[in-house]
Amino acid sequence: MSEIGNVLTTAISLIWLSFLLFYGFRNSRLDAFRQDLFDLRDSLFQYAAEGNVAFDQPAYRELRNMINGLIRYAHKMSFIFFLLVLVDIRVNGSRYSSCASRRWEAEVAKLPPHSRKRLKRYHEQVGHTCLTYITSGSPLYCLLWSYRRIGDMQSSLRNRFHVAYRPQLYQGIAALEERAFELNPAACSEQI
Amino acid sequence: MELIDANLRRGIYSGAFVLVVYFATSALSKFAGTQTLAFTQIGVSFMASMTMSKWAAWSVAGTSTGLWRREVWLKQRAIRNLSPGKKIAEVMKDPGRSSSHLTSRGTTGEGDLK
Repeated sequence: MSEIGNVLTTAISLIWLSFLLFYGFRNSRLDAFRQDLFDLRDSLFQYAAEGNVAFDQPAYRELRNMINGLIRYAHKMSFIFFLLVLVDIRVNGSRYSSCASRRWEAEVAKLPPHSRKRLKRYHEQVGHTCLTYITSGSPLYCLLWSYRRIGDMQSSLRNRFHVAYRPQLYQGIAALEERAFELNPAACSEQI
Repeated sequence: MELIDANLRRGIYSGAFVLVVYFATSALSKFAGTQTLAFTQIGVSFMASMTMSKWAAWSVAGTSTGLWRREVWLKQRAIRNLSPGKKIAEVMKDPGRSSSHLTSRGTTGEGDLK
């Protein structure tokens, strides 16, 4: 009879744990990621409000749109999707960092050096935030990471992975940003 | 690519669900034909299996979960209260201000969930 009790308590605990893991942890990570992007967006706005770059500058406007796109579609970003983008780049070659990204680069190049440097810094920070979000919560990434770690215990695999695949990773981020550019219409709306 | 991603994720979740059902069925089948218990007996058995340490652990977990949900609710309420003012202030500076299209509580928009 006590076995039934044990089965029940274990089942309830596991259901509870699953709820926390698949709903709580996931949503908490998503909120934290969005908050990081909101912080960057606010900082960018502050930078423009101080008169360093005009609000109607295409470089500012597109960077803001990109951040908004990433905030909006953050729930769709996953390590699996990121891997698929990397595979696509490997198979079909780099067709990203085209249109919108290249246009943005061209617009940034027109800015004075200090603004150009600062906006590129914001852009890098956005990429780094995305990369951290995508990799930090993925069991698949942790498995890959562990696998590689066993293979070579002498050096930090995280660094090796990032150094070895940096161009692909940043192309992957560029692809995600490209999606954000495409998906987020630059319109003023009632929402935040 | 998004379709592959969505289907892969759906496959992983479905696989996990099937595994959970399989193990739950296996656990229950152990009792098949051995005992027939009324709900009250199951309740008594459940209460009997709850030791003091289990009660303590569940209390901590339950309180923590409740506090976390309350914090989430408070955060969403704060966003709902503060964001309109912030938006007005920003639009005064930048009339062409673009938006993230999240809801007024800071959650994913209904149309974007698909």
